[in-house]
Amino acid sequence: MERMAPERTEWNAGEASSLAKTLQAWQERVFDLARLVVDCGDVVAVAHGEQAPLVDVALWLRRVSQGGMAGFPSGGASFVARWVPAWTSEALLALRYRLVSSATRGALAEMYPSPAFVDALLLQLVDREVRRRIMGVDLGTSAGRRYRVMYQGEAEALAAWARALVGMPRFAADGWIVGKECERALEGSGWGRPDFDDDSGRIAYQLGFCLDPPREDLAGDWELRFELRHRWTGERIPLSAYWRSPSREMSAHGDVLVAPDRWFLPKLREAAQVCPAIAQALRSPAPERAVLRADEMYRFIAQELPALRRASFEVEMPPVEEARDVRIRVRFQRVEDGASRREPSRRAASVPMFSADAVARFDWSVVIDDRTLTPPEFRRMVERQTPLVRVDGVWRLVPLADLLRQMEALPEPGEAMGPLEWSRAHALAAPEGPGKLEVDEDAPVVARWMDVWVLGRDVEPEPAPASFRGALRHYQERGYAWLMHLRRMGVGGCLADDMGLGKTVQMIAYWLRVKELGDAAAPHLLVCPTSLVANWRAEIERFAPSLSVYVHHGASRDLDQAFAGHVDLVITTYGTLLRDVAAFHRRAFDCVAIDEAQVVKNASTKQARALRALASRHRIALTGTPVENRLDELWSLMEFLNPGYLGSLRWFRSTFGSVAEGRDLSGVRMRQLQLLLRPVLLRRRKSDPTIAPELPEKWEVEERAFLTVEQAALYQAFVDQMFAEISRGSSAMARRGAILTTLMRLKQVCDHPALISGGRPSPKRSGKLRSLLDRLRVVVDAGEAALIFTQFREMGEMLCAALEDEWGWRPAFLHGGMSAKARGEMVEAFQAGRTESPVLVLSLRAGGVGLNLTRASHVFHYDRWWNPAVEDQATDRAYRIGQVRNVEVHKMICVGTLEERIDEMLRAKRALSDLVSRVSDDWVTELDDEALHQLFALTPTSVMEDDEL
Amino acid sequence: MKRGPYASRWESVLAEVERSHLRAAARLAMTGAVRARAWDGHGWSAVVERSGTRRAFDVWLPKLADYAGHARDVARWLAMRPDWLAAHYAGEWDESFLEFLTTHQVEVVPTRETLVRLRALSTCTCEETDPLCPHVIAVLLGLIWEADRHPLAAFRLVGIEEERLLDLVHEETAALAGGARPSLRTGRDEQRSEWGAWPPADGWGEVAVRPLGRMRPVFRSESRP
Repeated sequence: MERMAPERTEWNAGEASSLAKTLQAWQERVFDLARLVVDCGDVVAVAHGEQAPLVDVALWLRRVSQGGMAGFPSGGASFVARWVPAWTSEALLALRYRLVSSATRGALAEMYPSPAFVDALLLQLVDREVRRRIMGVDLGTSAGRRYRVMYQGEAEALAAWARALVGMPRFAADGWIVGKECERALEGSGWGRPDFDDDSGRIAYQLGFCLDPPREDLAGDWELRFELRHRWTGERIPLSAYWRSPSREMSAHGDVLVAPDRWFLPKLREAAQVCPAIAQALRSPAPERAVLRADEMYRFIAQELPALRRASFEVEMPPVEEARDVRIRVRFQRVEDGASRREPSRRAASVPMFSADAVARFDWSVVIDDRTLTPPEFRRMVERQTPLVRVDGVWRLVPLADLLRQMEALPEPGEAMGPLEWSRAHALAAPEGPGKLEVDEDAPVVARWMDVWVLGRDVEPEPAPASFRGALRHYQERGYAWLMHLRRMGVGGCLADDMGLGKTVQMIAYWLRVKELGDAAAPHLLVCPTSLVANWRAEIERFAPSLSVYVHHGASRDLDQAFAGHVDLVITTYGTLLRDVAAFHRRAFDCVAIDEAQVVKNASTKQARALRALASRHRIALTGTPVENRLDELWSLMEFLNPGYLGSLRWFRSTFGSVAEGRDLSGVRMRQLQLLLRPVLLRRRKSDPTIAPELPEKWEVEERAFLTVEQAALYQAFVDQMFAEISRGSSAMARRGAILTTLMRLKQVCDHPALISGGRPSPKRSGKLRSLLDRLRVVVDAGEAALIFTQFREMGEMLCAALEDEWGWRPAFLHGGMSAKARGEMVEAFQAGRTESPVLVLSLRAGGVGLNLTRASHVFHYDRWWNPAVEDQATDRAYRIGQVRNVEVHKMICVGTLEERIDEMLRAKRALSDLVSRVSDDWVTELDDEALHQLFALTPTSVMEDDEL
Repeated sequence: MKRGPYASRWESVLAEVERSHLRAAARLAMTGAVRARAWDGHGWSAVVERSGTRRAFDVWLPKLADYAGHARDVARWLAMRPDWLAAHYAGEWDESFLEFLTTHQVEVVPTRETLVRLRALSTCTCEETDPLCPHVIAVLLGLIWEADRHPLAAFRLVGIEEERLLDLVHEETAALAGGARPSLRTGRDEQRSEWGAWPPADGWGEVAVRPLGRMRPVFRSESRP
């Protein structure tokens, strides 16, 4: 064995003994490695000259592996066959590095001055180990070699070589053939690696990082230690050890690393490019660790750590996980005198805005994966910007910045708050952050409004008022109960059901229930457009005759009268409210309800200001279209219902501008707005799956309107004229003629006075036309289509002109003067939606039969035919096969006129209805004078002041 | 001319060299015409072969300044800024390092005086009357381009050898680290205890290897681990 024994040097006895032990221990490891190389099969067969020392062979192996020539001359020569390590495994190379570096840089350096000397020993031991185990040589399994024709004599040479690899190592063969085979065999071996003789340790070590947590659980700096980590054994060398080393050679774990900064500093530089803390450390002498401030940890864990790992850096760290479950646990404690904190100036001093029960003291804590942080603990985290909390030995990463932003919407701990404040805080906080808001439901009252507010659960059912004449549909019961619930909470609400779903009856039920409970502190006030006063009055009389109503309207109005006597409800119009604003503001009302609440869409109008200034205990808005054009309208409405709930207009615009512009419709802002509105706005659509089954496929609504002064005067004149003629004792024929003429004239007067006296067909002159336009606006705003039937062609033209003035588009008018082809084209265009107008005006005679107009889901009968069959036929233009929506039939009726009376008769007496359907208007002529008087007489309260329009 | 950050600093200086000489020098430097370059303690000697002929010229280039006595100061700068050293090992110039050298007028960054010195002291055996002949500039370009790739090689221009400088940097770093605690144990009696873990003894596990060559050993089955 070559160089197995130390050469003769000048050692003293102790040193020699120690050296011998060192040598023996080292050689044992060389044996180990040789055995391991053979165990792994990482060997390759070569051959070299007989006289070549093994050190030279080791150097020759490097040269040939790097692409050099084997250098054996052509012709027969004698060779030594040898198994040598192939070094294709980096793990084995790392072990070789340990043996080489410890021998060449340590006490054995005199015996092994260069790596080639160590390799020489390994060559010898590997060959011996293979030969000890070998039973033969496989000649046909050259990995990756393509088939090729052998050179002459090659087979023989290989056979001799193979024999020599098993038995006696010497063999004779052609030098060129042996050389070529050696070159081929060594291709891709570790001997040719550029780092094969690298002494810096890069072949065995890599730069790694170790993240050390602070001592405290909640705060403090983290440290990212830099260390060299053995790729195969996991042994570590802190970088500090190298920096403190007096020379550029450092020994550790049996390895000697020479100037390892050659490779670890560039790697550290690479890491610095993704981690600013490492970059900072690299700008200071002897960098051994990077300090990560608590506020840098989130970014480090979320961004830099993955980037480091993507760049193949190993980062060892205590278990850190994203906090899976972050909750903001909110607690409320009932406050007994909560009402007293309210500003008395906003509402009537005598009626508190909120119920005392609804006020609670607010508190919160943050829960991270079941660990509860008290406010002081959380505050400390915030102050130190620490995003990590230790829970059960595992560091949890808390998205602190997002959590903080979320919590900014919540009130300060200890603050007393009502449902609206909580609703607002919850709506703004819940959708925008990582923390789930969780209510600790200790106080039952609080739990109640949490249910309704936050969780969106239905309110408890409210018993229907005993004196209510009629039955509420299921969804109407819910709406009514919701209004009552809001009342108890002291929160204003907007009932925004679709037109036709019965907002009126829900409101009436509310007033009745309040009355039955004796809960009204003052009369209620209903403010509505003039055109709706008649409707309201009629509906109240129908469903709640026990409610005493005072209509504050007309020349003889007197608000004091309402408050002096026992009046449950004051009805007034927006115009009258403005005119008598001082009188209204002197009073306090129980509930102020506004119908067609979109009139307050502009918060700066006098009407809106006057409404906001009313003193009331509760406020309700009724509208089918809470937002018509701009989101600001919503703010204006809420400012009336619950001042300050949607913040200032500027804040509202800046916060929800994206929603208003149609962006972010599924994002956080939209969700926040939905949550804000959920408690205070109840909107049901006719198409809602829970509502649609409750609705009839077709239903009729009577739309009542007042006459204008002009209409009333004309109406009265015609009636007077008729009775004058009758009283003159004219013939039966003349009598009949006078009645029928008057009947038609009165119908025309109810439609529009211009039909009689000419002049501008302004809506101001006709209460019915105004009422029609109000109803149509809701239809048009909802994107629906309507048919309007009239029996007077002139009225049809007027309607077209009025609609054009109102919306800018002129509806088509289908009447008897048109050709069949023109009618067909008109109907087809309307059905296909090619017309700009969603409304089609039809003459009852011409349009009443045979047409398919299912695009429309609203049918308006502008004037009455008195024959339900004729009206039904007309209605069936829309309500027929092909109609996929419910059809709403609006029958326009002037209050206090013969229209109303005949309608009552039709509804009250089915037999009469049958009669009427048989004989049309003729039956009227059969009535006696008294009956005629009852039918034709104008009721005084059926007139509205002109300026109310 | 290759233009790294360091070479760019030479542009204004080399702009004063005869353009034809500069072009010829770049060609010589790129084609490997500069041979046998050696440091003699005061400057570089080299042989520059003229392309297309069999003629070669002996060139001598002076160092730009003598910083040998200030090597430790330079090492201290570098010890203070391991990022500069890291950039050097990465084969890049750290901009702040170059800026530092420029600001402190360290003469590895050329000035107008640099050219005066080169013109005054450079020698070449060619017939060119301009001392900054293509052969002298070719040797200079070779040094500049090397420094572009190995920043600390620039200090050779002022008489500081790179390896010597790196040794000093480590000494300064060790002093700054408060250590100088020897971790390399070269004493013969300490060797054995420093050998650490030896994986084969502990079971090394599976090692992936790639078979090489046509002849593979067939082992007796009982001999396999």
